[in-house]
Amino acid sequence: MKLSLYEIETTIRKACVGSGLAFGVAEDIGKACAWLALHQINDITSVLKAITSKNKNPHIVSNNAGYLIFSDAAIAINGPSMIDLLIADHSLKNIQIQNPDSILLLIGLAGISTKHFDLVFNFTFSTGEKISVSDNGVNNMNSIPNTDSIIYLSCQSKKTMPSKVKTSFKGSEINSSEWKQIENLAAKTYVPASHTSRSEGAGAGLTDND
Amino acid sequence: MIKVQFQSNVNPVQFDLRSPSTVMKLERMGAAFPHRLSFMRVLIRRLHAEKAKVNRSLWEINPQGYGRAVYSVQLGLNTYSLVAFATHLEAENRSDRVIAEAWDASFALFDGTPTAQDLDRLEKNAPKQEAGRFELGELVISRANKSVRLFEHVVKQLSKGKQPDSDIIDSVGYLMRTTAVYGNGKFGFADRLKISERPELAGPFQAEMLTVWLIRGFTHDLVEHIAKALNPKSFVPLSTTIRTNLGIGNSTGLGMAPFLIKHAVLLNNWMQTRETALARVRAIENPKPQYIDKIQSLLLRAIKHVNQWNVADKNQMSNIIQLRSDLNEINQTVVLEWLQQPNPWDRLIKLSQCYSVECQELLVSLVLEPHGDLIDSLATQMADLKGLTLNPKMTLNELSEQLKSSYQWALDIDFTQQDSTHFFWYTSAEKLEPRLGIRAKELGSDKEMPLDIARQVCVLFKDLNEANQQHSVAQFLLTHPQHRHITRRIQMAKHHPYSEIQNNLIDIKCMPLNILRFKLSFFGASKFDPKSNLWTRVNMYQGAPLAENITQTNADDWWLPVIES
Repeated sequence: MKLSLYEIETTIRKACVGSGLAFGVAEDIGKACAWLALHQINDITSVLKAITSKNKNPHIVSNNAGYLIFSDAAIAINGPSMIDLLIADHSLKNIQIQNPDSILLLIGLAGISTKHFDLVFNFTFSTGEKISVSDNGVNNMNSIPNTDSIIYLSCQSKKTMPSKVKTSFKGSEINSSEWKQIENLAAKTYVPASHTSRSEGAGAGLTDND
Repeated sequence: MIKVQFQSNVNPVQFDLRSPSTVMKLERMGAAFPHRLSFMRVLIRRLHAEKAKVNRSLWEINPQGYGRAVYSVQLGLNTYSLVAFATHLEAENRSDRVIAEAWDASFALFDGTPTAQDLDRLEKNAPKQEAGRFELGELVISRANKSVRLFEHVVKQLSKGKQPDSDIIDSVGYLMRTTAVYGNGKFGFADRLKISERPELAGPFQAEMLTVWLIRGFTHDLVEHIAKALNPKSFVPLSTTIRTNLGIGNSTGLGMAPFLIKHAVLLNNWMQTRETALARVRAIENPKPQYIDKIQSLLLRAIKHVNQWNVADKNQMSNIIQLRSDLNEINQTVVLEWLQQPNPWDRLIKLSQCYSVECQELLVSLVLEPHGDLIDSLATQMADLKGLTLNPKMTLNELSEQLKSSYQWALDIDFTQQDSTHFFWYTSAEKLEPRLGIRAKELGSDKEMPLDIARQVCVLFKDLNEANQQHSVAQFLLTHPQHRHITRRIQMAKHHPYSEIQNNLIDIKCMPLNILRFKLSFFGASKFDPKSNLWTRVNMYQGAPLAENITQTNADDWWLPVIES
C-alpha cells in the first residue's frame, strides 16, 4: 500500500499519542518517519517496536569526560532529547546509546534537525560501521548493522548545499500488517461516537435539503 | 504596536502594525472580511494574468444530470484538470456533515490530463471520498451537495425560457455547496511537496481555490444541461449576470478550527501579511484622486453588499444591522473634503474605532482594496516554508521571559474555574469528524486534542518556576517531555508574534465560529451565514469572473459583490 508523507506523519503521530507518548514527542516522531519515507527508508518495524516499548524510564548516565550514556535506549521516549542535548551542549562530545530499540527512528529524528541547525550527525557503531545524516539524507545506509550494537552519536556544524526539494516523491510502500498496527494505535485517540456527540458535537444537520 | 520590517525588494514606508493583543482576539478575528490578499483573489489575478483558458474536454452527463465531466486549464507550465462526477442522491442521505457517505457530486483535481484509466479509477473512488483511495496524480478531492430549492427552481425556469427569480438567487447565492475540500496528501493523493515549487500553486490553498473555481463552472453547466434536456425548444441559458452572481457555497464545520491552531506559523504569516499591507496603506499621506474616487465607490458598494446580506442567525443579523448603521454614518462623514485631507486611510481606520468591530474590520479590507500595486507582492509571504522548530539551546530563563512576554494573556486565566475548562476538542471515531465536547457531561476528554494552549502554558509556567533557570531547554525536556509541544510554540512566538489566538479555546465562552470565519475570510469567502456556534455556510466566488470572461479588464474588481438584477 502506498502512503503519502502526510499520512505517514499524521498517523504515526497519532499512534504515538495512542501509545501514551507526549504530544510534542509524537510530533517529532511523525516528522522523523516522514523524513525517512522521503529519503526512501520505508521500514517501520523497529519504529513500531519503539513506539510500543514498555521501557518508559531508560537509564541515563552522565560521564565526566563529556559523554552521555543511554542504556537500554528507548528511542521513542528519549530520542528527541538525545538530539536536543547534542545540539545544545557543545561540551558533549557524543552520546552513547546502548541497545537502541530503533536505529532508524533515531536517524529520522537526526534528519529532521539537520536543516534547521546546519548540522551533520555522525553515527559510529560498535561494530565499526559509520553513517552520517544530513539534510540530503543518509550516507552509507547499508552500513547499519543488523545486530544489537552501541551507537556513538555526535554532530558537527556543516553548511551543506541547500537540498533540492524532493518533489519527485512517489509515495511510500509500507508493510500492510505493520501499518494496520499503526492505525490501530492511532485509533486509540478517537472518541467513540454517541448520539449526543453526533447530534451536538459538530455543526450541520444530519440531513441538509434546503 | 509591532514594528516589523517585512522582507521585500521594495521598502515602502509603513506605519506600525496593529498589535497581536488587538488582532489576535477571537471577537475581532470572527469579524473578518475578505480582502485582496485572500487566496481566491490571488488565484483569479493569476488566471487573469495568464489569460487562462478552461477547456471542457469531456461531458458525459445524462439528461437527468448524472455522469462525468472533465475541465482542464493551463497555469504556469502545468495543466490541471477537474474531474467531476454527478450521482443520484436520496434526500435522506443529503448531509453537509463530515459523516455523510454520499453526495450529489464529487470531484478530483488531477495533475495533468487524466487518461481513460485515470477516469475509471476516479469514478470508483471519488464518490467514496474519504473511503476511497487516490494516487499521486490527484492533488485535491472535494464533494458538493445541491442547494435543492435553488437548483430545482433554476432548472424549471431555464427550461421554460426564463431566467431564475433574482430574489431567490439573492437569498441563496449558489447552486451547490462544497462540504469538504481536501488537499495535501490525504487518502493517498499527492503531498503539497509535489506542488510547493510551482509558482502557480505555491501560495496557501491555491490548488483548493482552483478546484472550487472550476466546480463553480461545472454547477452552471450542469443546471443548464438538465434544463435543456427537459425542454430543448424553450430552454435558455443562464444570463452572464446570473452566472456571475452564482458562487459556490461551502458548509464549514469545526475541522477548520484545529487546522488554524496547529499551523501556528501559517496563521502568523497570514495575519502579519494583512497587517503589513494595512500599515503600508495607512502611511499613504496624499493619495491620488483616483484612489479617493475608488474608496468612495467601494464604500457605496460595501453598503449595498451588506444590505443584501441577510441571515437567520439572530446574533449575526443583529451585527449586520449594526454594521449597516455604522457604514451609513461613516459614509456621511467621509465626504470628499474629508478624504482629501492628509493620511485619509489612517484617519478612516482611526474613525472606525468608534464603531462596531465588524465595521472596523470591513474598513480594513476596504482601504486595502485599491492598493494592489503597493501590497499584492506581499501575498508570496503567506506560505509556511519552515514549520515549527524547537531550539534546545535556549535557557529556561530565556524561555520564561518569552513566555511572560507573549503569553501573559494565558497566565491571566484562572483554570481553577470550571468554566475555564468547559469544552474539550476531540476527533470522533465516526469518520474522524472533529467535535467539541462538554467536559462535565461527555466521555472522551482523556483523548482531548491539545488545543488547550492557554492551559498548557500555565502548566509549563508552574514547572519552569521550579526548575533551574540556567538549565537549557534540552535538559528540561529530558525530564519534562510533556512540555515539548508548548515549549516549541512559545519559542516560535518571539519571531512570529501573530501565531497564537489569544483566547482560551476550552472556555465556556469560546466560539469556534470566530475561528471558522477568520479562516474563510482569508480564503476570500463572503456572506457568512452562521447556522450555530459550530458551523457556517459561506459563498465563494460570488461575483468573481467566469471562465469565459477571465481576461476582462476588471477581473480583479469583485470584492464584496452586489447582486444586480
